[in-house]
Amino acid sequence: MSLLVWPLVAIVLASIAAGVAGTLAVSHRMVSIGGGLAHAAYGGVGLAFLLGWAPLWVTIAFTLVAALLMTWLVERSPERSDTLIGVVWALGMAFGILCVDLSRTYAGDLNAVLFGSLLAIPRTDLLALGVLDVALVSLSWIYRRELLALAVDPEFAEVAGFPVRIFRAGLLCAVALSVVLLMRVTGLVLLVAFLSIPGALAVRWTRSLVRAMAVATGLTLAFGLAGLALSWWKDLSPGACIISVAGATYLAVTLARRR
Amino acid sequence: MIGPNGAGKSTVLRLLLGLLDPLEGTVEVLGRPPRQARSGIGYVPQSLVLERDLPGTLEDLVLAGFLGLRRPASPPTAAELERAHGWMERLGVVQLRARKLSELSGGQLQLGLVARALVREPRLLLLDEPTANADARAQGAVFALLDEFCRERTAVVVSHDVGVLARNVRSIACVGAGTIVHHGTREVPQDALEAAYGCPVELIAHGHPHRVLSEHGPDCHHDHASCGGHA
Repeated sequence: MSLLVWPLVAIVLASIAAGVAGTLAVSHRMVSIGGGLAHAAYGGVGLAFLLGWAPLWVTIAFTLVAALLMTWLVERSPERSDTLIGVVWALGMAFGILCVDLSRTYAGDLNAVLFGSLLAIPRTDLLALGVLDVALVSLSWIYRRELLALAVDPEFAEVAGFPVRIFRAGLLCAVALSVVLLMRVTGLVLLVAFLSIPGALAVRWTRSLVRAMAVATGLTLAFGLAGLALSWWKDLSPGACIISVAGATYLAVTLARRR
Repeated sequence: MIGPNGAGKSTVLRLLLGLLDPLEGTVEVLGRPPRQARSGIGYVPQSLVLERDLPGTLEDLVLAGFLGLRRPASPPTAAELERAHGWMERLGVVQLRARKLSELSGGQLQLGLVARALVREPRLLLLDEPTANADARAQGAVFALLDEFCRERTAVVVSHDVGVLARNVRSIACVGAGTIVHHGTREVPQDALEAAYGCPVELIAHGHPHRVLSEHGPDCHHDHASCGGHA
């Protein structure tokens, strides 16, 4: 039973980050950027692997740089934003794969990054996730009015003299940090669903951003616990079980709504 | 400001708002470059493309009008709330203030956008098709408020509907082919309209002064919808 304590702690901490950051990503149309960052982050993992440095900090730094590069490209380039996101997405992954190739060592541990390793999350990652939760919850509460106004009409916010760019950069960094720290729970391949499904369901049922974040956190926790129970019962990968439960719920709710 | 699609009406508004920079020349609003004059400007966009199910209410939308006027993270004061409710009441949407944005009709949302601009008590109000989605009653409410607003301040309204503008404004600028073909009285001469639209224009009246274009001329480059509708 004690084996389950840390995975449960991880799920609770991950639920808060995914609930808050996911609601922000959904309401600010940043889900595809989040997905792109999750894959680009693999470049940071590969680099850390090649250099033999601590993966968490190298991946955080690499993903933040990728996030700022994405923003800069989307703002400055005439290309479609989904094309640019796709390019950074693939480039980050390719860089990570090349780094792993160049290191010429056994890359078994990288499966944990790709598909999650809920049962073996390092304590430093959990501590970092806890710190991120505190920062996300407090900043989202303090700036809840501004975050909503920016989601509703960014052009008006700019015209009103609000520092839109600084806020958007901050939002993107919050999503990037969440992506890196949630990667161990679901794996980067499945992360975009973890970041988008609870938030997308929560905004349907609520009238305020803060309530949506609370509902999304509750939903993520429920999906996490149900997925973990399923994985324990059938001896399956926890990350995939969690996403399967979340995805099935989302489809059921969406189909029920269309009737 | 009237003119056919693509004449540059919205571009002029975006220049005045500092969202675009001029290729040549300078733009001054209230005696300053547009970006420095923003605290004195109110803006009503043509429409709002909302993310589906966005968790916010009409009251949240209107209170966003105070953005940039007070420090970020500070809650609205009692006076600001009262002012926001006052404008919503005058526009006839105060009873909808707790309704979710995605549950509002296009017209109700448009009135919310007008209230959002007015709570800023701007010296200059810029409106892009402010009554495009509004019914006749809401249209009347908006222009009555604008009439009162313009006793001491200035509003620039972009519209396709000459009839509505002619009844409610003091001066019309007709824009076409990258230039201003008429600026002054609210009665736009027929030749100015024809120059702007590149088509023959026929004046008809049914209740209110109203102009439509009779048929496409050989030099008309506009699609039928823009030529056949209200000038």
